[in-house]
Amino acid sequence: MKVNIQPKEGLLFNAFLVMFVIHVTQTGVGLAGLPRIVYLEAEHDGWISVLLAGVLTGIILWVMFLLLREYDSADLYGIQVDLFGKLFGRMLGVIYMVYLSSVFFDICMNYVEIVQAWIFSDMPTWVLSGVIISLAVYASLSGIRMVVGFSFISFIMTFWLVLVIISPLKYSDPTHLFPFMNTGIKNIASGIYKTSFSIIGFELLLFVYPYIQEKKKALLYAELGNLYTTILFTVVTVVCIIFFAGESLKRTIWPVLSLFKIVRLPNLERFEFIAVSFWLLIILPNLVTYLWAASKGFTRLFNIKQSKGIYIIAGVAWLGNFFIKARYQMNLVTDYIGVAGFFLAICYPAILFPIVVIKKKLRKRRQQDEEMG
Amino acid sequence: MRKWVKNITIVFVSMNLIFLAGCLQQRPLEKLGLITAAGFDLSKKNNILGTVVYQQFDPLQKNVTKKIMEQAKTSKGLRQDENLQTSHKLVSGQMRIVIYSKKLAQRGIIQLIDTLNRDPTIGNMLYVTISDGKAVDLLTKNNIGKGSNLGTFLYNLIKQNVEGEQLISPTLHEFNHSFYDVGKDPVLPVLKLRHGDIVISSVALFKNDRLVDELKPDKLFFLKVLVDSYKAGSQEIPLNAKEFKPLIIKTAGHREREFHDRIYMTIDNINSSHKIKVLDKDKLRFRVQVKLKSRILEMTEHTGNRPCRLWQ
Repeated sequence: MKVNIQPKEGLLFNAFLVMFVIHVTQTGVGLAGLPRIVYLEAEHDGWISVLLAGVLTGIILWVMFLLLREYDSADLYGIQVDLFGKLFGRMLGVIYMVYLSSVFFDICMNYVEIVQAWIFSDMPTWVLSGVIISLAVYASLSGIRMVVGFSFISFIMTFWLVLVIISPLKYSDPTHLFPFMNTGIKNIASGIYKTSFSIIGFELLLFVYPYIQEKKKALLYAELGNLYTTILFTVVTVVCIIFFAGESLKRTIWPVLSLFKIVRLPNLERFEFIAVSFWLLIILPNLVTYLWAASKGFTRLFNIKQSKGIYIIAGVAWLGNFFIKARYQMNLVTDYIGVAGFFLAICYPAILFPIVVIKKKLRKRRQQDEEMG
Repeated sequence: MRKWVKNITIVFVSMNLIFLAGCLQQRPLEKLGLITAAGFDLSKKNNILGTVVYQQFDPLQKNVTKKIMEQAKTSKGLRQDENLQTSHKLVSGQMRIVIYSKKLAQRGIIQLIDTLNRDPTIGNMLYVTISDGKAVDLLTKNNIGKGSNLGTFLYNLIKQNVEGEQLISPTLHEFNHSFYDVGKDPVLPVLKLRHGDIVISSVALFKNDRLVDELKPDKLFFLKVLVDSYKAGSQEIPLNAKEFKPLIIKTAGHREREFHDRIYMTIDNINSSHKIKVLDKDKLRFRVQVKLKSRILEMTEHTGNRPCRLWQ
């Protein structure tokens, strides 16, 4: 297989769309529960964890970009094969594929649970996940341009939900944020670690990179997308901390959705139902992009058609729903995926980068030696 | 081949959308009883007596509200037993107000509040109130017209007073907030049946989830100044007349009279803010600083225009 992909001219997309891809894939089902998760770790300083996690992500994005810049137009699958050889590189590629598919599965599962808890308590899991997964399959079958375009549309359609956060501010108590920074660095650090499940999604840059038109600008736009995500996550966490009393935030599983409970429009009394339904539009581009990136592995590593890969992953994910029933199992799966995300999305690129640099230098030296000899 | 697969996908998705839409439990409005108010009483040992006021949409009749009473151990158990008494399925999505009797509130109500919190069909802006006497009597023995909806009436009674800054807002969210927050306890209004009318008689003070004391409405002003902030409220204040002796112009009234030992004054457009500081952590002493701006609307005595300090 080739390390670099040379996509046709028509498949490339504008660099500024990377902004939406990064932001939208980061914002997903994790955001709904994020304030509680960080509050459990870092109490009222949870928002600092979220902010620092965003900064960390920004740094990792920069490292990723440096890594990708070493090649002309390669994705992670190609880079791994180039670095570790065919067998080992492929194995690592498969690990990453499994990770991407399980994130796909987890997002879908968590959203189904939200819908069941909030709106349709009697809706069977397989029905809803079947509908969502077939939508994701349909979108990702159409290729990269569709995937990227869908992120853009989804951003435009859901971005107004942010404004709704203003109305809970009336009922908030800013003193909850004080005393400032007294929970200790250890707790804040574990808050950062726990944020990783919510903030992952930026690693998809490693897969969409070959399809970006002006590759030099990609970093700027990716960072902008990440900046917006960071600001959004931090603001949402702050609002949740000042809106809920500490103990009740610990008991509220989806604080962001509970925030919407307070919103009351003249002829729409229960806004949270709208919010939960709109959440589908927020998570769908996540699903689509993950599915696309995971199935890309089939083409890149095994020369199987991508559409087949999409069907296989979607089928397995749908069947997986039958095995996970109870809430504690979901928590377990989500926790594992969070850990995997922390290592594979945040740590792995940082490890990969020095290896790439060393390898490049070695190769150069060898070439020079050959020329000399 | 590829196109064929794509078409199958499209057909599959649209089939999903069309056929699965009917798979869920349906809830036609005509077959529902929308609970607008619920009351809870303590009866016997371990039993709670629940009363619900619900509204049904009957095309033939207009605005039908009905009341049901039932006894059970838990509030969701009540719902099941209540359903046995009605032809309409009772749902709680439109619940506006819950009333707990004073006796129940003295024993603690957090279990009953908790089930409200966990039920996603119940909104967060539901009013939580206490009844002086039994909640059943309050809901069934009043003579508020049969045509009008009792739940909406009670809701508006509270809402109007909260907006007029006469009450501290008693929504479910605020109850939770004060209950779970550090250094704060809930405050709820008390409803009372007076000659067949429902009135707000006082304000209940809680310690955690137990009712411990009551505050008459005229004292509520001081509580609200400390807990909340005024934006445009009004209040009648009694003042000691002796301190104003030099200011009072006896002859300015319509008739000459001796002034009483009390002067009453009503102020409006109150704008207040407060600061509470801890002076002593061990003995728990606080310094409370209240800033209050307002204008005098009415006074029982005439005074001169000289500036003066009202409170020391």
